[in-house]
Amino acid sequence: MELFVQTVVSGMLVGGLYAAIGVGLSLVFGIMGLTNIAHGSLMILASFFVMFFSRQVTGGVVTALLLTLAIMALIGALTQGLLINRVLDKGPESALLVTFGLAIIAQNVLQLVFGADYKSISSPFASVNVIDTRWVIVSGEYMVNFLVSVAMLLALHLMIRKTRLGRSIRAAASNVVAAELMGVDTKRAYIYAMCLAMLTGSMGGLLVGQTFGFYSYSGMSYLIIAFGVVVIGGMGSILGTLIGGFILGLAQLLGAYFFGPGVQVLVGYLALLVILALRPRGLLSNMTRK
Amino acid sequence: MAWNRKKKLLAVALCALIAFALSACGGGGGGEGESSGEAGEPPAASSDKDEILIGFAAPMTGPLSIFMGPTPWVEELCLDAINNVNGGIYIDEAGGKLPIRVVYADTESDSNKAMEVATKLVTENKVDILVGAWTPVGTNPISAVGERYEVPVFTFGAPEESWLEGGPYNWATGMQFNYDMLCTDVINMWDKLDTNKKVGFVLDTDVDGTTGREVYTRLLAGTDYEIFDPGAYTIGTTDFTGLISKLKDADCDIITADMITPDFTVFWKQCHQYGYVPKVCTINKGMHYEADVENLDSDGGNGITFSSLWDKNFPFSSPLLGLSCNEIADKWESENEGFYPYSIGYDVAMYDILYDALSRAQTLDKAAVRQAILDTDIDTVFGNLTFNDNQCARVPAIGTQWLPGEKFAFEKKVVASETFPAIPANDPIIIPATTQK
Amino acid sequence: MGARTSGIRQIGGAPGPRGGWAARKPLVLAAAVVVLALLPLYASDYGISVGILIFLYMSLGQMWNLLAGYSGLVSLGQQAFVGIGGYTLAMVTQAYHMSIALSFFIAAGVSLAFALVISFPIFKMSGVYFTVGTWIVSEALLVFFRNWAFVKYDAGYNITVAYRISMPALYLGALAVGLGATALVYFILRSRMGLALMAIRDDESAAEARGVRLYRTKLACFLISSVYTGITGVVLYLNITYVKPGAAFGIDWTVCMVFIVVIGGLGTIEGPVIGAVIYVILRQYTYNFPGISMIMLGVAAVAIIMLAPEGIMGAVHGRFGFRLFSTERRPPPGTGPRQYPEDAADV
Repeated sequence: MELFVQTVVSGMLVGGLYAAIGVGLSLVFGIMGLTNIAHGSLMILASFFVMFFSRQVTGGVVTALLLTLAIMALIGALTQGLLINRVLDKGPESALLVTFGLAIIAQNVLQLVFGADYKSISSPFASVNVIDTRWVIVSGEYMVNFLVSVAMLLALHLMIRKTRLGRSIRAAASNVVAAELMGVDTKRAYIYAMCLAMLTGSMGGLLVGQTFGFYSYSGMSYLIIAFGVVVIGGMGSILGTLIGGFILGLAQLLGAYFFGPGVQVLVGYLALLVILALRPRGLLSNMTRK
Repeated sequence: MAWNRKKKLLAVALCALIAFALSACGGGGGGEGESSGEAGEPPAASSDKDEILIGFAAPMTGPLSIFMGPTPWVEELCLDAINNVNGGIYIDEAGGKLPIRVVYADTESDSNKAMEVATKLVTENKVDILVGAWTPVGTNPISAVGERYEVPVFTFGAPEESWLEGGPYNWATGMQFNYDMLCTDVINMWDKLDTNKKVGFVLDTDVDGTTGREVYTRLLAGTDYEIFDPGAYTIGTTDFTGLISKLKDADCDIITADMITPDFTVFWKQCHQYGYVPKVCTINKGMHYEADVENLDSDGGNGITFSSLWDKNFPFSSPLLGLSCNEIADKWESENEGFYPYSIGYDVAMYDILYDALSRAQTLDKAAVRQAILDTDIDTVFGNLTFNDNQCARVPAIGTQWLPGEKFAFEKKVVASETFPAIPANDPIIIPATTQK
Repeated sequence: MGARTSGIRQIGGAPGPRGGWAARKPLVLAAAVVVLALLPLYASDYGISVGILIFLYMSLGQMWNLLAGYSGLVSLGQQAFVGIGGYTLAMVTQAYHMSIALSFFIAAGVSLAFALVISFPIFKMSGVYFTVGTWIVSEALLVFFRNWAFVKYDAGYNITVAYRISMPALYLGALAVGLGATALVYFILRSRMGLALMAIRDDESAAEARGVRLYRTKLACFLISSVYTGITGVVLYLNITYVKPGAAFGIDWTVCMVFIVVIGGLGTIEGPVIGAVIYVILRQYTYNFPGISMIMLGVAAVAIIMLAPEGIMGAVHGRFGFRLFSTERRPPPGTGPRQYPEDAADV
């Protein structure tokens, strides 16, 4: 029974982190219908930036993160403005190939610059347990991941709902033609959306870098997690992504609890497929494209 | 009419494109990238050759490229010894000494690509010896290419058992470690410590994991060790709550893990968080490098045991370089940053063996080179090496432990070497004080 | 998916008289096939090995194009069938020591069965959900194979019987698979189903309103593509000779399919042919630069798509207005401009 409680708690906490990994993807997914294969690799790029800046330049994780956020937003704006915007209206396949290309370039350039060895970002919370009882143990790291993820998702949700920027992004998402007629520059809205996605991706990169560590080519393995939580949540729905994260985290850990650690990852995927078969547009898809 | 002509033109162009592409490739044009590419003129008979070409299909990018760290350094050192100090290798049909050149191809740590690039090395670059390395992904497809095109192949850095799955080999040779011996020395390490003799398996389903599971189970049967196997874990697992609580419940003092570095780092961190730190943790694959051990949180690397494939305390030396293992490791550490990687030993031994074999063969005839490699009987950085009937030369895998060091945060101590008694195991094995349960 | 607006979807160019070319096309094509089939007589070992790759990748590309280019099913999961083909070959020849020929039939059967089973959940999804759903399916299959004792877990198989296959024979096999895929797609498009596909491609809801059975047509395409990809997987692994779950079910296969089809020209028969030639030659060239070869490939992919967003065939077609393998139905000569695809109703 203790183990069951622990499993559920750990599943929820790790699920929060999954949501942080996925939310940027959900944004670009919902807003421009882009299957961004480069999301995982760009997230790992942010991990490398944080690691590099905190070790070589600033000495602290917070300032390193701020620097990273600025650079990643710039990278997001450049890739969207110069590359993706130009192929987006040619159908999804061209954009798919561009993001594939970006992913391949990102991970191989990272390997060239930083080498192939395993990296991690040191976390002051790693060795502290914030809850330590007979029923449940929660490490500071998991707790921080969870709180940061949830706070970030809520902030993003409010931003999209309440601000002017959020309105123009939503307008571009729901009807391109109408939005343009009403004076919204959809291409620019796409750039903002990609910048936002990169900012959340950078946070995801920091948390992943502290919790799991990373290689230059880790992007693809996080990408499938990101895709999973986004599609079961419903693309474009930020709260859906959070729920999707919880579901995937819980499914994996409960899978291990009931059927053994060997099938942990497999049960996660099967849960995603079952939910998708029952709800083919995700649980909370309120944004419909075209 | 113009319409028709255009169509015909395109049809012909399309076929011509394919045919041209194929025959252009056939000509070996563009060979080394910078070569002037006189298409249609493959380097004909070996008598025209002015160098000995070794094709190294290596994982230069991707997860396995971690093994390639010292390769350029070793290449420079060894080729300097062969080409400059010794003036090359005497080849009969060339009527004099020829230098060795190594041409690399990147397998991208992928067995599909490994086959493609090895085929290119053999058919286009027309290498005299094909080399493949590191894990079955690096050795098995390369060996297959050698068998297919009948070219001598030298592979290293995989478990003998899994490499032989692709045999019986005729053209491929291997310098591999043996899992039975590896596990024997791991068990020898455990024997030296005071534990409850309960062994928990944390093995994946990869070659090392499945081979390890089979060998440990066989070797521990009938001893007073008790095995607890919670089932294989899948690579890429992010949370080990279930696995750790099973190990904790089973009260295992010993765990033997076969995990890649990120998985083990997360696993070991979570072990500490859940208050389960067994007396002995033997981790293969993931903790071969000092930097990775240093990376572990809260001094977690202290006392981790693993099976090392080469160590500077090996009392052997390289005949080609004239340096002992200790001297080679020191030279690396003085010219590079960080603790010496064990893969230096494999790289040096490769040049030792190939230089020796080619010197004896005195020809580039493929069958003769193959035979010369198989006839190898020299003392290398791994001690004396000969090839057995399976065309495999066995190299040591001995028990070692990471302990706090003087020059580096952690240093590797040899603690068990019963399978290779020539290697001294002078250091005592220790149960670290951080153990808790 | 929605309506597509790009130029290549529209039928351009003057109809022109159907004179000498139509009569001579079979002859020209037959001659081309003979030239290609005789390649082992005049090409080097390297040329043959590259030829094998071109035709096998061509087959993968044609089959992905059949899904993405004609049925609007952008799948990221077709590597599942490459893996099924490869593992079928390994199990049949290595574990059970039966003939290679048998593995083709088993691979086709297993692929068909697997495609049928997964079609129930994934055909409920559309658009990006389908795209991601297919990837999750094949990723789940990868994890399943890694944990499946029957296939020796993640340990992999050397396909030792393939060492002794002569390369010219393998080349002829690859040629048959590659040209077979091209011919198969051509005949599908010339059939009634092809008409339905064209209608779906141009406007899905309009096609449905005009009586095209969407589900059945798309399912048929998915099954054909999956089975043929599975068969291609067998030949691919006869060439590669070493099968391991991570490589066999790797997303890399789909990356290369997307590259080939999009660079060559989506929704065209010539596209995957050109794309496969470009992809294989480019890869062979970048192999000369170990360490940065993948960066070069990625840059090339982005650069080509920026220069020719509709692929090379799209650019050629937009500029010159012709295609080699026309899959259009032509009205009798002299009936004026064609209406398409509205004529293609009632399938």
